[in-house]
Amino acid sequence: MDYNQNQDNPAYGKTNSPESDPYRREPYQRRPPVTRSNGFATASLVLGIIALLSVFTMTVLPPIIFGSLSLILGLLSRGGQMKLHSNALAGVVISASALTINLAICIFSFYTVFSSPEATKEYWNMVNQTYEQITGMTFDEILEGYGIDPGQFR
Amino acid sequence: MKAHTSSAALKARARASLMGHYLTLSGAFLTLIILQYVITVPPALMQASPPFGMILYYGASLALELFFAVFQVGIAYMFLSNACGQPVNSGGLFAGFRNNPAKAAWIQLFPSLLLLLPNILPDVLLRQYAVTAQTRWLIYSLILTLIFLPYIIYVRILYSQVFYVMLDFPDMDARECLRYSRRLMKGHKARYLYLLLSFLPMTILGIMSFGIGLLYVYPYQQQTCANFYLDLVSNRRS
Repeated sequence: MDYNQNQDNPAYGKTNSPESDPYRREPYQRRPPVTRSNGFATASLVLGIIALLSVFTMTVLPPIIFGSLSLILGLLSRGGQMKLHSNALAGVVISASALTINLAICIFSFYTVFSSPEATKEYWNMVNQTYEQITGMTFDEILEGYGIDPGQFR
Repeated sequence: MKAHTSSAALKARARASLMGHYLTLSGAFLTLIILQYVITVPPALMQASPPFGMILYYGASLALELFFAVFQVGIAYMFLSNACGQPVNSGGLFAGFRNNPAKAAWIQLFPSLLLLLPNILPDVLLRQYAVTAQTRWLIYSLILTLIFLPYIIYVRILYSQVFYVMLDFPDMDARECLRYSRRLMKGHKARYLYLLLSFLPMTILGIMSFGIGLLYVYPYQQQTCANFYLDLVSNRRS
């Protein structure tokens, strides 16, 4: 952390520093040099592993949630440095792999469903039933309510 | 004049200064989000005797925007304090109320008025689409949004430093703060836009994590913006 550039500046923190303004009362205190966060790096690794494991449970959402959180924490764990801690690097690589595999599985699943007319019909029946249970209207009825022909998606 | 600090260096400083302060700063962000969710203008107001209901709705929305400007001062205060190594506490979010709240509202009024029509017109067309379900209204709304987008971004960037200026120069009145923000951003608008756009991938990751990641991304972005302001000011004075 280096905010000494502001210390060199005579105007900053002196001429316009009101006593009532606490953030300027003691300007430019040196913060203890916290360079990296091992906690974030470890969390990134753990979440990355969970994301990778959840890919194999064939659930779409958990790998996305854990994987993206792992990436964020891994990247933020760098602190003031540019290079990643080994745990964070492992976390980032594992979670990026988990997200990629998850995406590939999703694309493959959609391709499988929508390339076969029978599977497509079965899929839309399932969607309609689910919507009816939740909202009392089928998905087709909702689309028709907005003036959209459901047939164009089949 | 010293060379300006690169985006990467500003972000590295932000990450370093945030260590150990995420909880407080994310908490402030979460509190603000909850307040904005709770204190809102009921959309049902739009239906009340047109067009007065609509005028009332947008008028109340503008008033609410001015009210939340006071919280924006609190946010700017917290991140500026953190950048300067000062202790940060969650009460900082309400610092704007202790520090001339009317000035914050006056400062917000000018950019809000500049953005009034560009915000309202696409919204009105979108509501028309929701009522009539005619696709042309949706297309008109999208076209208007695309037309106004560069202008909205320009105005937002132009006045992006205004609350930092307000905190840094308490003697300045609202008009001077706005003018100084414009002057500070002269020659740095593209740099600031680049800085904001560089957070896009991480913001997408934050959204993908169902908003949990945004609790880390938002403080990171705000801290970098506070560092950007400090960089602008220190270079201007050296």
